[in-house]
Amino acid sequence: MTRSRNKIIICFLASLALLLLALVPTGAAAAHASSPEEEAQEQFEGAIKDLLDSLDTKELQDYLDTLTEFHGVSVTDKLFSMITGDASLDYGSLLEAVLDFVWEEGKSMLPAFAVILAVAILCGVLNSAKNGFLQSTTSDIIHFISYLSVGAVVLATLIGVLGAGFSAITAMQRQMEIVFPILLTLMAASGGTVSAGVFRPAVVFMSGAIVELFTAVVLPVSVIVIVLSFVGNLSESVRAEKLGELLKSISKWLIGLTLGLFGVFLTVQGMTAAQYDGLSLRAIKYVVSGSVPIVGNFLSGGVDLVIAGSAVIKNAVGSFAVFLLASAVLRPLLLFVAFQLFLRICAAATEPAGGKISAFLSKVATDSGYFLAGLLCISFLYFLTIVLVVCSTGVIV
Amino acid sequence: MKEYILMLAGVIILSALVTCISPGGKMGKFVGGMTKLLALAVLVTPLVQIFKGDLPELTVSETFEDDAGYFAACSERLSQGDEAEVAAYIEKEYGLDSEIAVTRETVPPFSRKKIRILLDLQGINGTDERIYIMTRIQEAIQAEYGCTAEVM
Repeated sequence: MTRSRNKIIICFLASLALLLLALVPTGAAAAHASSPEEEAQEQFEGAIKDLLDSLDTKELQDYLDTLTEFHGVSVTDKLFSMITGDASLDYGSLLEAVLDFVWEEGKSMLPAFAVILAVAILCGVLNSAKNGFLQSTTSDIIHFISYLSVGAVVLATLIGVLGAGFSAITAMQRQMEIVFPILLTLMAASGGTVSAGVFRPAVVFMSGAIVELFTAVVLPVSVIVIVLSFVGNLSESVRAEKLGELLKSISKWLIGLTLGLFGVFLTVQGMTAAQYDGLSLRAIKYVVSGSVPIVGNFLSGGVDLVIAGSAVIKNAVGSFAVFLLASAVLRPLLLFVAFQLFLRICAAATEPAGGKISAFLSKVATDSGYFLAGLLCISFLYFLTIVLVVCSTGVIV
Repeated sequence: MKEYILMLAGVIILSALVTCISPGGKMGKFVGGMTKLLALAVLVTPLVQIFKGDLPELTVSETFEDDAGYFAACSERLSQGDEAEVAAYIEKEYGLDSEIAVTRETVPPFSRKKIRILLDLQGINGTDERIYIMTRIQEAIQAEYGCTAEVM
């Protein structure tokens, strides 16, 4: 009796174990259960890869090969890694690199600082001697020469900084000419036909006329302001302060008008065009998926693959363009920061010695900000345009 | 612009130097006045150029071209998708095999231009029935896709 009862229990437990094993999914079954999502992901990535390969990025690749920071980087691979999320930015090392750069540039300006300080101290000593045994005219000449010496040192340093600024603007213009055709192509392919038509003349105008306005008028005017700051204090008979004020006012108005008018115009037009594109595409998708009884959803899905793929690639290209912009603008920006810091420190150090040198250094530090404002205005307009192009088709999908 | 800046700086430096070393009295005042006039003449040089019409060119001459190769690839991909979908539709509705060729525009929005359908009618006997099926398929495809459909 007990033996048969045990047999029954054993048989019951064995059947229960078999039943449980049959219900619990195995590894293979579990993998099979998630494979449709993985298959869809793979299909999408495959479509992205094909679209990327058919995109003409030769000009962008050639430009990248000229940059030391991006030498050896493949544009297609970089864009694909950005799309799949494999690319990441190391903020710690970036901050470290920025601080290192500022420190190195500051150290390179130390000899100039030493010269300025030495001349200012000598000038101060001679200033006190002017009231003693030196004649007034001789003292004035010595003062004049010391002011020229300090000015020569400052302007020599300034020329290097201004050269970096002009190079950055040339680099940005080149980037605009390369990146915007790619972005407009992808925008049109992702359903933003009207938006592409709106942005095309705007970006052409920006990369041509606006950059030319800044390089031909605004930035040279800011350079003249700096030069007038230097030469205006040389002689009591020839003053150029009011001319400097006039030029500063012209520079401020041009920067303000360009930013205000162009920025607002571009933003409003871009948004309205994107809304129209979004409504058009939604209408198309509704008609397609609503009217075809059997394959409607497949149809709209096929359209989505090209549109979504183009939109994703467009966003990646936009992000990459922002990195390129940052790489072009960061160095001159940091140079200006280091230069202005250097001038302020010199002005503070030479103030006790007396004379016009401290005021001159402080004035140059302030006036060089107009050049920096012009540079930042162009880079901001470029950045704004990229953001608008990237975000304008966000309302569609 | 570079020449203007150098000329301006040179004139002002020269005038300052001359003012320093010039003798006193009427001669010194005369020299000072002449240097001021010279500096003023150099300062207004850009205005003279503007009145002459010598302005920096701000007109836009070039335009940005789209990537035609990318558009062609998108059009091709969309056409392939259409062909698979139409073939699946015909097989599901009519139980027939077919070869589909879809032609789309090569510029956005990549509208369909023509759909060519080559039907395998081996299992269908009778000319009338074949014509009836071809006509029905043609009408259905034209109605749904909104473009010319050619059924053979």
